[in-house]
Amino acid sequence: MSLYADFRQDLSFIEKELEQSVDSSSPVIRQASLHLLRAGGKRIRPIFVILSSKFGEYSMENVAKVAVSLELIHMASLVHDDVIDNSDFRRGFETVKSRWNNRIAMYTGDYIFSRALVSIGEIEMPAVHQLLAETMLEICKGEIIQLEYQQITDQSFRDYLRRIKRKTALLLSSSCELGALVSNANADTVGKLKRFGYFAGMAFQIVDDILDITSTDEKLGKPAGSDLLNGHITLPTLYIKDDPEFQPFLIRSFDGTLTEEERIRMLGYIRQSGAIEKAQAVSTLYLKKAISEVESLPDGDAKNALLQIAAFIGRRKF
Amino acid sequence: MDRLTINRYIQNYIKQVEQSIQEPIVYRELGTMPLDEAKAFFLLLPFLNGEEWSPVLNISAIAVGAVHAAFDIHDRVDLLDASTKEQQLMVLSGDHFSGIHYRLLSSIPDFEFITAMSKMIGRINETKTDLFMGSFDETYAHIEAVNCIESGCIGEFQQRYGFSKYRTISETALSLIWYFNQLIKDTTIHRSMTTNRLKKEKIETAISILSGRMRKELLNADFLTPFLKQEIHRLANPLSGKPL
Repeated sequence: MSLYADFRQDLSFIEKELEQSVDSSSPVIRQASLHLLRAGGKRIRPIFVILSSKFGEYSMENVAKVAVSLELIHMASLVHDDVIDNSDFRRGFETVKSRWNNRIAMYTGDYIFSRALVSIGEIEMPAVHQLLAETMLEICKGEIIQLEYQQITDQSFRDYLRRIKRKTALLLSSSCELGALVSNANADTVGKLKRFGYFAGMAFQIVDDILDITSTDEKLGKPAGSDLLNGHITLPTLYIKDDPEFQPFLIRSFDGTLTEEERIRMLGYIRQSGAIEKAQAVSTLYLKKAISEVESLPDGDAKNALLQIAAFIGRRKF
Repeated sequence: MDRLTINRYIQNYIKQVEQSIQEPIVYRELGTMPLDEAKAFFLLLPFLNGEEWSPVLNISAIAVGAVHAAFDIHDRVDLLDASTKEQQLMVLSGDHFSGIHYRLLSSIPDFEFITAMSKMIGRINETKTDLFMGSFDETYAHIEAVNCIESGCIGEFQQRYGFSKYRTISETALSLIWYFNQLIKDTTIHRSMTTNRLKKEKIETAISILSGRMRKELLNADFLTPFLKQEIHRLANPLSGKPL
């Protein structure tokens, strides 16, 4: 991604640290972890840590420990999510559970979690650990609550926002906050960056949910409409869930009887319903809030990059 | 200290772990997590033997219990299909318990123990994976793997808080208990750790090796009260029933 260009050196250092962190003595775990790392990802959490830490006393060593830890936590949760969703592909790559089995996926996920804590364990700042622990627990709680909402159509806008907060926004918010904390940025800056991460994270997840409907199977690396097929109502579908014409699609998605032809028709229906535009408007609102938090921060490359990332989130196609 | 008092301490500890890891939805759907009493006994062994036990140690001990609960529930995730709500909750509750362990250690805060425990959790998962893939064909290597999985976290706890003299005895006893469980065909534990059924002779050989070690260790364990020695012997030899 070209907007990472100014921080390529920092990112490639973190990439090496990530590889070293999961250099396991177990051949299968090493293979599974490297398989995950090489499947790529946007590395948005590490970049948020790097950029936020630029507003304080930047120390690559500390920043890398936090960035590696957050990316590993994200990776580990994806491995376990694939077990829960019974997913065979992610970003076009075979999942660990599909290539091996659920047991190996559980061990690999747990191993990666443990390496995340080894990485951050070297930072002797209680606030950093307490924040990360709370974040991990909140994310997990969010996933548990999401199960409660699975295949439930009676959901409100508020329920959806609460879910995506825990699913995505919290870890991005904590990435910014932790980056600022380890570089001893002042409290006002820490607060602004934390809120930037939160608002950007909310927008990021809404865009992700939109792309699940508007993008192609090839670009997504999984069938478009997977959220619905897995029983999850997202923002675009929240707007039309009560439409009589859409109801049969919803019911058949949830009970697993939706045919391939019906899936294509369902995606077409959502795309032309106006729900995508409504969801985009909400995402834009969050992005504006994110930008306003950053605008008052000191000028510099880091501020510019955060603004560019916010703009990118709004127009991204992958 | 008599057996009744020991049991009371163990049950009290288990209750504290249960309270720490409780999550309303998980509790409603899966009920209380069964916690391993033998592991609780060896974790508390220094305390039961009269060693000083501070509130910080108690929090750390609960954190270790949360890790054991996470391991146990993750071992119950189905090999091929975890798409039922119950199975999905098993995945997430294990992650939740693991997060509780980190929160507890962060609250002390004990950075050294956070790192030591995390390294050990990583090692245990590596060992479980290798064991699952059928490595450790040789009996001694197999015993080492079981030692790591069954007592690794307790050993780290004992090491961190100056109770390293209890480490070997806990390791041997917990491994012996694991092999005895295999012998009496505890299929739940068995399935969770290996794909291939362990051969009976291999289990018996391991039991024989570990029983020999246990006898020597108990003879040399001058720091333990005679009653605790008897209790360890009883726990580690569930089939013999003979006194030490």
